[in-house]
Amino acid sequence: MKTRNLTLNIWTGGSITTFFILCSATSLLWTPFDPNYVDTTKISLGFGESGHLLGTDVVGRDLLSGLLTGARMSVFLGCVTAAISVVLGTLFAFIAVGISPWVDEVVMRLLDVLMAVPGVIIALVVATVSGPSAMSTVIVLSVFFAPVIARVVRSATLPILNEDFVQSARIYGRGTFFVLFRHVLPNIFSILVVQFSLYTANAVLAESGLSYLGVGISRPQISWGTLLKEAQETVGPTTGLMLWPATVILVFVLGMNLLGDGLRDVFDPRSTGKRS
Amino acid sequence: MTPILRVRDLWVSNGRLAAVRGVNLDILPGQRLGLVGESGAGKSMFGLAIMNLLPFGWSATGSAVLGYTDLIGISETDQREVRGRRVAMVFQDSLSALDPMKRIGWHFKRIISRASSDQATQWRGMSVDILSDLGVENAATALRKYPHQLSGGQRQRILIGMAVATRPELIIADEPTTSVDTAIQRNVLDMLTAATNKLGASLILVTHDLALVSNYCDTVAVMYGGQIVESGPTSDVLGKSRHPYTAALVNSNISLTRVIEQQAEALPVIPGVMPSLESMPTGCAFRLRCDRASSACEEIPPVSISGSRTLRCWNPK
Repeated sequence: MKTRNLTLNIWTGGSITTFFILCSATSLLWTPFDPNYVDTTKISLGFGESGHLLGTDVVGRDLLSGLLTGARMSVFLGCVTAAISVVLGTLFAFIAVGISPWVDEVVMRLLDVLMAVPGVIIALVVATVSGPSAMSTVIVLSVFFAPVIARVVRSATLPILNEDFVQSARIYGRGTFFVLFRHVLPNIFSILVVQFSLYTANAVLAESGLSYLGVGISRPQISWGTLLKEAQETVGPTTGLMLWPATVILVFVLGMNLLGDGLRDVFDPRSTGKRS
Repeated sequence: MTPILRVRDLWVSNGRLAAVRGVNLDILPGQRLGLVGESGAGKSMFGLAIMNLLPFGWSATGSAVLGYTDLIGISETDQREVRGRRVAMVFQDSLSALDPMKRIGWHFKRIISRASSDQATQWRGMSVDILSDLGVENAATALRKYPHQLSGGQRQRILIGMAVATRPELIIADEPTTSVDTAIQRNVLDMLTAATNKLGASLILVTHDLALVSNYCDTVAVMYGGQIVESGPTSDVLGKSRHPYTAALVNSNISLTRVIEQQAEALPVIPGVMPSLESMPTGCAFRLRCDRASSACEEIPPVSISGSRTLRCWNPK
């Protein structure tokens, strides 16, 4: 039962993720139409009308092309943000627990302060100062996510530091950072993988939210959030416009979560029976 | 014979409370010492102080001289020469003492290459030899396994193997057999004593099991409330105990025949519990539970030495 679920998670999650990565790659080379090409003769087309597979929006831009181009931006932003957040969060946590209880206290309280500031406000400020762009979105979201990940990593690290094998490593003259990177890191790797997949999904969602507020990605660059924002202006007459980006986000987030769950089990040698 | 480890007036405290209060101890080369006491007696803290692995906030004063090196207040660089090379430790919980994400071989490789770089390339052969000596079947296969794939007894043997891999002069075993059953317990201790004998190393066996001590140790030191209350050759201390606490410990040791003959409720117990560090009484730490306590016991009893035995009691038996 366990093995079946495990494979199922990885296969489903993996296929979904691979599918979106392929979509992103395709969009670099080819999209059915130019996603930014306004064709006022073809506004608000439905399914498959005059070659537009998913129809067009209120100014006649092709939705499928938009989704493909959006996939590139959203998946890229999601992965980069999650990667930066996990690396930063882990470093913060290791610095906190590795140096001394005082440093721990100071770092963790600083992270508390960061967590207390609403991410949207930071996003608005950064967007105002530097202009809305992919870069500012990544920075804002990483600053917002890293403290949460740091807490998760720290709480996973502390019990490991109390294990005897850490004492044993100290006996053989290993320093704190050897212990953290060679003993603790492999032991919490499964947690990091799960965090990465969760926060990729979170970042895609958050980026959609930011784009929706107009401080994320805006045309000519396209993300799924951009499409969602444009669609909400015409919910009702053209619900499909909103439905497609929403579904795509939902499926991607689901896929990342399944993949993360599956990978967690694979990375932990204790859960896979015989591997010798 | 000059002692390999000479501990003098060792105190371990966190500034407010003291877990080890003035311990004196000598261990001769090749000697096996049993360090006995209840939980909280300070025996683990004693071991950690020797290894310089005290928890944050705790520090040791006094001296513990290994050869010509004082282990207390040693610099971090000198420390690396000593820990793991001249002193090794066998931990209590074999599952926790091995990194679950690393194969057994990884552990050996690290230790052996750390100890001497010219042996680094031969780590595999060396560890197979060590493990075969300890009775691990298919040692080469065992090296490729993860800790959770081995049985408790095998893991304990691997810990012993790791401790002896660097050919230390002193091995501290902190309750090495509490996590395995009695049949394996005996086997593991046989292996441990055989391995230390082969090296000519000394052994400190930290335990609360008097039966193990009487079987495996030449000398015994009984700890109570952070102090050694009685020490000496095992047969003398356990056979003709002079301190009321040692006597009570020996007396409360479960013997199956006695349980069958006298019924379970006839088991002698020591009344009360060991005082916590906060509520340690003045004078003798044991006086509140002692049936021989007198007003003299409100002063800390001095250590009296007769031959190879030491005693800390005003009213010995």
